[in-house]
Order: sequence, then structure tokens, then C-alpha cells
Amino acid sequence: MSSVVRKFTRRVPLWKPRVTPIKQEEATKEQLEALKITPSNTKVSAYVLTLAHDVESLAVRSPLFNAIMYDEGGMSRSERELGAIAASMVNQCIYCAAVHADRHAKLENSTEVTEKLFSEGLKADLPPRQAAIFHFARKLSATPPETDPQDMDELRKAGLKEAEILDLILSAALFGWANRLMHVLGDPIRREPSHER
Amino acid sequence: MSIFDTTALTISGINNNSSTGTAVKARSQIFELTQAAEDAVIHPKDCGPFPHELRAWLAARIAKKAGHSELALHYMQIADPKASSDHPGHETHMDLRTLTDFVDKVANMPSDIEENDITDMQAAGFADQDIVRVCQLVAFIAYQVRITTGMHTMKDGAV
Repeated sequence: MSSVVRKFTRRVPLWKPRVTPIKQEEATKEQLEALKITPSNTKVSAYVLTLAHDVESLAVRSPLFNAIMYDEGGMSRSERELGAIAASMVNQCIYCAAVHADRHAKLENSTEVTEKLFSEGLKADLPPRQAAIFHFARKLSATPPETDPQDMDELRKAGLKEAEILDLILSAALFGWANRLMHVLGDPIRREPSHER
Repeated sequence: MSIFDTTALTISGINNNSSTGTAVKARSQIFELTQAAEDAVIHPKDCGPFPHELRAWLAARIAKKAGHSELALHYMQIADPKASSDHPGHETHMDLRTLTDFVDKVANMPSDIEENDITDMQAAGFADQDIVRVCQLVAFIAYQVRITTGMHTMKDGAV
């Protein structure tokens, strides 16, 4: 029997839509075109088939997602993931937090930061640079956003360049978007042994 | 359209000749796509049951509740001229109360969303496709609020 995951984890759950996704075999020409580029360039998932209900948004959103998270230069990929994790924790998006904590751990070859975040929560005691990044992304993700000039000073004092700060704003904001789709339109479901990859 | 004419950069007050502007130019594709995403949620070719003016009114409502008066004004200017903060300005057959309750919750308290929020929308007559359309609109405006807020603070503190 499936069960909804309620606690943050790096073990990536399944995602079960709360609305009925489109059927790939019944997709329109426009939907098929949009489905060619999926977030993270992975296979077509139930999530993307759900988003295909609004094909005009999906067609733009997928390349935008990939550009913000993966384009060369600026902030490192693992630090962009930290921005994504902060937003996902504020918005309680268990699925997004799991996916991006897993990516962060793989990119860093360490689970130290994500272990701390999931055990100590939003106020976790992180090394100075990661703390400044996480703190800023957490405050930007609040509603209304709570960032102030002092938070920006903290980022600069922690050594972030302008291009890195911009990438942090973009990655945290992107997850303000992604969480409001993933967490609203579906549930994270515990992966049973038969679902293991 | 120059990226500096997009909604995101106009509202943030970012210009070409600044250190923030230099960082922005290195990510020009992202700002072009951000504008295209705004067009897709506010002025889609297929707007379903949500006309462009209603979408703009909802966007203004989200921005206002997120404390972003400048962005709220931007969207209100493209809403129905008869719109007020409480009403989109034209009659609609849809359940506006259920729609705005859902929009407000997704925008402002996304962590509290439960399955019944979706079933309430379905019970009020919104098709699954329409629920996805509304979520995309709300989610994009949440992103737009945060990139403009973040870049505005970034610009002010740039050396």
C-alpha cells in the first residue's frame, strides 16, 4: 500500500498526481513538441504529463529550468542545488527537497550538509559560505520574501561574486515556482522495494 | 525586445551599465525565457476559461499579497479597467470565491496545501486542465516576485 512521505529525506519518493495527467498516446502536436524537452532532460514522467495540460507554459518552463540549474559559469551546480533545497524546505515540498538533496550529495560527494539540514531544519549550523547561501534562499522563499540589504552584504562577505548571487536568486526563485507545482499537484509516495531502480 | 525591457528587469530597476546588469547579460537567455513564461501565463493563445484580463488580475492579487506593490501595479494595468482589488471587473460564471481561495493558498501558504484543496476546486467545476493552468500562473508569479525582489536588493547593494 502506498503512503505519503511527510518528512524530509534524501531517498527520492515516487510522485503521485492529484489530477489526471494527459495520456502520451493522446497528446496533441504541441504537447508532443513540449514533451521533447523535460526538466533535467530525463524520461517523460507523470509530473511532466500533468504539466502538459498547460502546454504553452510547459514549453517555456522546461528550457528555463535547465538554463537556471545547469548553464555554465556563475554559481557551482551544488550551490544552486542548495538554493533549491532551501526553497523546498520552506515550502515543505518533500519531493523536490529529496531530489535536490540527493543531487547535492552526489555533486559534493558528501551528505554532511543535507544530513544537517534535514536533522536540524531551517536554522541548521552550516559552514559560513553555505550558511550565507542557505539563509538568503530561505528568506527569499518566505511569503512575503524577507531578504534585506544585510543578507546581500552577508553573501558578499562570504565571497560570492555578482554572477553567483544572481544564480542563487534565480535557483531559489525557480523553486518557488517548482514547489507550487510539485507539492500542490501531487503527493510524494514512499518507494516500495518493488519500485527500486 | 532587449532583455532590459522585460518585466523582470524593468521592475527590478536593472540597467545595462551596472555590475548587476553585467551579471544579467551573461544570463540573457534566462531573462528572454522568463518573459516568454510570463506571456504564456498572462497572454496564452489558449486561455481556457481564464481570460487574459482575469489572469492579470490574479497576478496583481498575488504580487500585492506578496508585498510587491510595483509588480502588482504592472499586472493591474493590464487587467480589466473596471477591476478593483476585490473583483476582476467583469462578471464570470465560474466560482470566483473558490478560485481566489485556492490562488491565495498556493501563493502564500503552499506548505499547507492538501489534497482537499484540489478536490474543492474539482467540486467547484474546475477541470484538471484548468487546475494545472491556475497552478502555473500562481507558481510563475511567485518566481517573478522573488527574482525581482532579489535583483532589486542586489542592485542597491552593488559596489
